[in-house]
Amino acid sequence: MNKKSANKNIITCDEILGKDAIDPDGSSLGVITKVHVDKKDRKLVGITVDMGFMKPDLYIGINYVKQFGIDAVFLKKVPHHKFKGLKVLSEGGELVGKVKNIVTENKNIKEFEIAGKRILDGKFFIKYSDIKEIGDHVILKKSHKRVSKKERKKKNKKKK
Amino acid sequence: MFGKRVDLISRNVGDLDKTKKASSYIGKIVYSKKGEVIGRIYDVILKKGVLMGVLVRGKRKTFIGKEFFASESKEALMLKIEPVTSIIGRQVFDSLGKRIGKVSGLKRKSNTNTYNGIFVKKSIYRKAFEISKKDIDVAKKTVLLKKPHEKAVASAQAAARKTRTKVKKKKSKKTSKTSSKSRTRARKKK
Repeated sequence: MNKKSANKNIITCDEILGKDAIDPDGSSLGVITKVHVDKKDRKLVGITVDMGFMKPDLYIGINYVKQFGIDAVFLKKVPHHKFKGLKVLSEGGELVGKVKNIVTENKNIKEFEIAGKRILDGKFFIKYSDIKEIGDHVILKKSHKRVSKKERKKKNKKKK
Repeated sequence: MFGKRVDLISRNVGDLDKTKKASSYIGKIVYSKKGEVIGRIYDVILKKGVLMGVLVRGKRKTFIGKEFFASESKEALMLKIEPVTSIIGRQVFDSLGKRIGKVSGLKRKSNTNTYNGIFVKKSIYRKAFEISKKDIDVAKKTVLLKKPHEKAVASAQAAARKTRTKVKKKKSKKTSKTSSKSRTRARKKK
């Protein structure tokens, strides 16, 4: 067996676990808790990131890992799951609701499902094109349109 | 907003409802362009009676000029910018993924929303070192560098040396000009 010093590109599992996973925006997603290895191919398949208290763990495929750094692991893409639970603000800064779910089409975000601020507001959908900025909060454009679940169902039926 | 019981004595203001109270700003949450909470407004700054900007208390106290206001509502004020000062305190990683330290300060030429470089400190007792803006890849939640730590620091030091030599040259030129002038004056006197 080769010694580790023989190949500088080899790192151990111990050196990956516990490191921060950082997306291309520079924000830390969480700490790496698991490393997944394919038994058959004997290759690293992905990593699991602990996103924090009361948040589900996130599995990231090895194709989305850019680099295993010394103190952090850099990712190639911003995971859509990161947006779940973010607060949604209007253009003026008023609270509209929270992101409940993300609707994707061909790996691209199509719509955001938003739970209204009050229970009576219910859930509604907003197109990705109606979103001005995504950061710590999701900020909507002034001319955004809310599509209720009923309207969406009707549209889908018409399409079919 | 003002009620019907306010008597108006003014030459310029005809209708109070078209105006706005300065105190209405106080307590509003200030969001950056990306929706990051900067803090709450605790005071309003006027110059010759005209609103110049607001004082915001968050992690740090900052003054934000009114030219950076994008929109506002009852509860919040949205900005057009990501304030550069929000980088201070963020962690810095180099291109190899090594944690270098935290941003301790910014190198700024003026008070605009730009910076030329950052000062990074590894720990409280260590000296801060400079990294120029061109070596920074991403400066948002964390600061990611384009180069390994040593190279980035070396390039910043080289740039600093260059500027120093330029300044010295300028100074020496000025002094040589003044000395030549004084010599000519002395000759004329003779």
